[in-house]
Amino acid sequence: MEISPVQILGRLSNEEFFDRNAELERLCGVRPGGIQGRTALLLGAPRIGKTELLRKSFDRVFADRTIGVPVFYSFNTSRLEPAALAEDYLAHFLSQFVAFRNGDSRIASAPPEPIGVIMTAAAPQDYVWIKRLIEAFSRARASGEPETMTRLAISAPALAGTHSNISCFVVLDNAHLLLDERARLARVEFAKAIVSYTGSPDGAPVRPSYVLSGLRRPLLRLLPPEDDLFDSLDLIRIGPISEEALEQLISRRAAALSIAISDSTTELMIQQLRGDLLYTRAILAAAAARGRSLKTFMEFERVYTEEVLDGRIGGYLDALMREIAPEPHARKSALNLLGGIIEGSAPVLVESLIDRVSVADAEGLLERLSDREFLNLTAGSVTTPADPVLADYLRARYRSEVAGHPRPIAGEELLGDKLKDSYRLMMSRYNRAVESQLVELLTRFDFQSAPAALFQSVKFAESYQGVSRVNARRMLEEEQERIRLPQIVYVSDLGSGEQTGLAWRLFSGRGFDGGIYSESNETQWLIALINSKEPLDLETLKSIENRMGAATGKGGFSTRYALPESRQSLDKGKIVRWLISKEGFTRTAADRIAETNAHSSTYAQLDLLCDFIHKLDDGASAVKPSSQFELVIPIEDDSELIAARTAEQIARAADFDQQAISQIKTALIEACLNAAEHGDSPDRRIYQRFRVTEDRLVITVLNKGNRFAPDGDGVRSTAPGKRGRGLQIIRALMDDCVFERTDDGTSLVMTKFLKRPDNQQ
Amino acid sequence: MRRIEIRSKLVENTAILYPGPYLNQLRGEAIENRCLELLSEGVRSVVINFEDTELINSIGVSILIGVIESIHESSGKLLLTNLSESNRELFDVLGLLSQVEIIESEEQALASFRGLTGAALC
Repeated sequence: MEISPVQILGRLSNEEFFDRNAELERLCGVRPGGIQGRTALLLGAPRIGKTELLRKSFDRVFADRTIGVPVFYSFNTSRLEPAALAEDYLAHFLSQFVAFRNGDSRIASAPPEPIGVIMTAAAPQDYVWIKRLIEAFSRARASGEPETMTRLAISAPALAGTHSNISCFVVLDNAHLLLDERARLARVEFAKAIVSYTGSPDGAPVRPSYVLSGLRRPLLRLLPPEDDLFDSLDLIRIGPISEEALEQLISRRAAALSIAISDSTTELMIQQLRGDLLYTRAILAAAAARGRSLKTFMEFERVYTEEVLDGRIGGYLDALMREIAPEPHARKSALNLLGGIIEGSAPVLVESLIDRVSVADAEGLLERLSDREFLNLTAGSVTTPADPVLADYLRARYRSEVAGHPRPIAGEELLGDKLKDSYRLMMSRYNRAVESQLVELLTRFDFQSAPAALFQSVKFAESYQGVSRVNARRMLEEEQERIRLPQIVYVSDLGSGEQTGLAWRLFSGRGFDGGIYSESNETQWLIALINSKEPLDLETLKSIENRMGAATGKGGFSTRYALPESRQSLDKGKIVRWLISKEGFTRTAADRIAETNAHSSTYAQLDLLCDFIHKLDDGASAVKPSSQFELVIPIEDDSELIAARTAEQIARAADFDQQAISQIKTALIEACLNAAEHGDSPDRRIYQRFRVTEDRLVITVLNKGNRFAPDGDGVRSTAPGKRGRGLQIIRALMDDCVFERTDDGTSLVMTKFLKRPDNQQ
Repeated sequence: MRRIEIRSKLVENTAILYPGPYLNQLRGEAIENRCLELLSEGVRSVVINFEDTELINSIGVSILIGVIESIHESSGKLLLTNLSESNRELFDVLGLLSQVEIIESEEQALASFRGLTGAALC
C-alpha cells in the first residue's frame, strides 16, 4: 500500500515517514474482510510513533475513498468531563465525516467548528440525519443530560453507517484516558459500541470499526471481558523503526535544519536514544536552535545534557511527572522512589516501596508510574525503566531535588557520565551482534541433534586445534557423540555485567526437552555469554556462576525466570548451564565446568554451531554465503577501530588463529590511518573490501582522492616523526602488500594466508 | 580538540601509567604530557602497564619513543609491563625492544625499582 500523497493529519512529511508500511497496511485493513466491524489495538512503547501512524492511517483512508470514512479523535485530560467530551467528540466526528463526504480535506485538518455550523456544510444526502442528530444533542445539552449527550455522540458513527451505507474507520488516540473516572460515561458507551458491533452477524447494517491506541499498559485494562470482542480483536504491536531508517531520518532532518553531523554521532544518537523519535527530534531541534554542530561526541553529549536537564526533553518529562503526581510532595516522593531504584540499580520489592512512599495513595502512584513506563512492576518487584534517557533525567532530578547534590559551578555531572559511556556504547555494538546471533540460534534449536564437541571447550581444543573451519565442519559431521537440543520457546535477558577486560550477559532460554509439551519435559537453559580478552579464569567463573544461580530464583534476583521450585528439586538436570567465553577458559575453570556438568564453548564453537544448525535448517539447497564483505567508515577519530573489529569477525570466521587476527587488525588500523592522513579524500570516507577464500584473506583499502601510496621507501606524511612506520608495520605483519592506482584514488591490497606456503617460510 | 585523561598512580615514588584499550595519538599524547609533568616533579621511575591495551597504532608508538627519550634524558628509567603477545611483536617489528626494558608484571617492575633504590643506598 502506498502512503497517502495527501498530508491531512500526518505531521511528518512522507519523506520522513518510512519503515512503517506493513503496520500502516494492517491498520488500514487491506486484507480479506476489510475493516468493517473490526476492533484493533495498536500497542507500542511510549514515543515509538503510534500517533503518527494513526494520523497517517487517517490520511491514507481519506485518500483511498473506498475503505471507509476516517475519523480521528485524541482524548485529552482537559476534556474528560462527560458533556465536554461528548460535544468535542461529536464535533470532531461530524467535521471529519462532512470533510470526507465533500472531498474537502481542509475541513478535516482545521479545528472543528461548533456543531451547529458544521451542519450547514453537510452534503445534501446527509443533511437530514445530521440535523436530527444535532437537534437531539442540543436538547440533551439544554436539559443537562450528559448521559444522553454521551450516548448520541458515541453512537454517531453507527448512525452515519446506517444512513450513508459507508463504514466509519474510528481511530481513538490516548484511549487509556477513558480509564479516568471523569470519562466513566464515555467508557461505558464505547464499550457498548465496540462489543455490539464486533459480534453482529454479516448482513447487519454497515458497522464502524475501531482502532484504539495510547499507553499500552493501561490500554489492556480498558477492554471489557467479552468473548466476542477478544475473538475478533486485532492486536497490532509496533517496535522501534530499523537503525537504517533512523539513520535516514536523522540525516534528512539534520540536512533540512542545516546541522553538521557525522556518521559516528548519528550512530551514537541511535544507540543512546534507543531510536526514540521524540528525543531524536528534540536533540536535532535544539542543535538547530542553538546553531550547534553535532560532528563530535562531545558536541552531541553537550546538547543532550542541556536537553535532558533544561531543554525540551527535560520539560516534557517534567510535564509527565506533573501528570503522574500533581502535588509537589507526591512528586518528590516519586522522584525519591525512582532515583533510589536507579542509583541502587537492583530490583526492589513493591511492599518495601509502598512503606517508603509518604503519600496517601502510594499504590495509585506506583500504578501511574508503571502506566507511563517510568518503572516496571513484575513479580512483586520494581525495576528501573528501560528508557536510558528517562533514567538520566530521573537520576539528575533525584540528585538535585531530593539528595540535595549542589549543581556544579560550570559543566554538568551528566555530561561527564555520558562522555564516558559513549565510547563503551559504541563498542558494545559488537557484543550485541554476538548476542543477537546467540538468541537467533536458540530459537532454531528445535529438538535437533548437534555434535557434543561444540559444547565441550576442552575436548574441542584437543581435537580441533589448528583445524581450518572447512575441515572442522567436515569433522563435526562425523562426530558420533551428539546431544539433543531442546525446543526453546522464549529467551529472556537476565542482565549483564562488566569488569576490566571483560563483559558478560546472561540469558534464559525456556522450552521443552521432548516432543510432548508437558511439565516433566520443561527445561531452562541458563547461558552466560562472556566477551573476554583472555581465557576466563576460575575466580571470574565463580562470580558469573553466582549470578546464574541467582537467576534461578535462589538469590535476591527476580524469580520470574525460575522453574517452579518443585521441578528443580525433582530433577535438577532440567536446568542446563552453558558458558560461552570468547577466548575459552583456563584449565582450572574448565575443570570446574566439567565437574558441574555445564556446557562450555568458545565463540569459535558458537560460530560452528550456527553453521551446523543453519545447514540442517537449509538442507541440501543451501546457498553458499558470499565470501566478500564491504565496509565504509568515515574519516574520524577512532573510526579505524570499527574496521579492526569487522576484520576480527571475518578473520575469526575464516579460522585464522588469534595471533594472525591481531596482526590483521594492527595492519588494517595502519592502512586506515594512512588512507585518512595521506589521501585528500573529498568524501572523507575510507572504503574496505574483505575477500575470503579457502587459504587467504584479502583486504583492500581504498580512498578517493590523491595517492596515499609510498614515495620511495617511506610513506608520505604530513606529520614527520610521528608517521612513516605504518607501512613498515603492514609489511611485517601481512604476507603481501601492494598499492594500486584506481580511477579516482588509490588502493592498498593486503593479503594474509591461512597457512603461509612452505616456499615463503 | 578532544582531551583524554589517562589513569595513573604513584607507588613509592614510582609512577605507573595505564594507556587504556587503544594507544593512539590522543592517548599517546596524554601519556607524554603526564610523563613530562612527573619528570618536572622529580619522579624518575616510570612504569607503563599495558594490561588493558588491546591495540597500539604507529602514532602511539612514535609518541612512546619520544617518552622513552625524555625519560632517558632526565636520567630516569622506564619499564613496560603486561604486554600482550601481539603488542610485543609490534614493538619488536619497530625496534623498540632494544630501547626499553620489558617486564612481565607491574609488581615485578616495582620490585625491580625497589632493588635499584636499595642498591643506590648501599
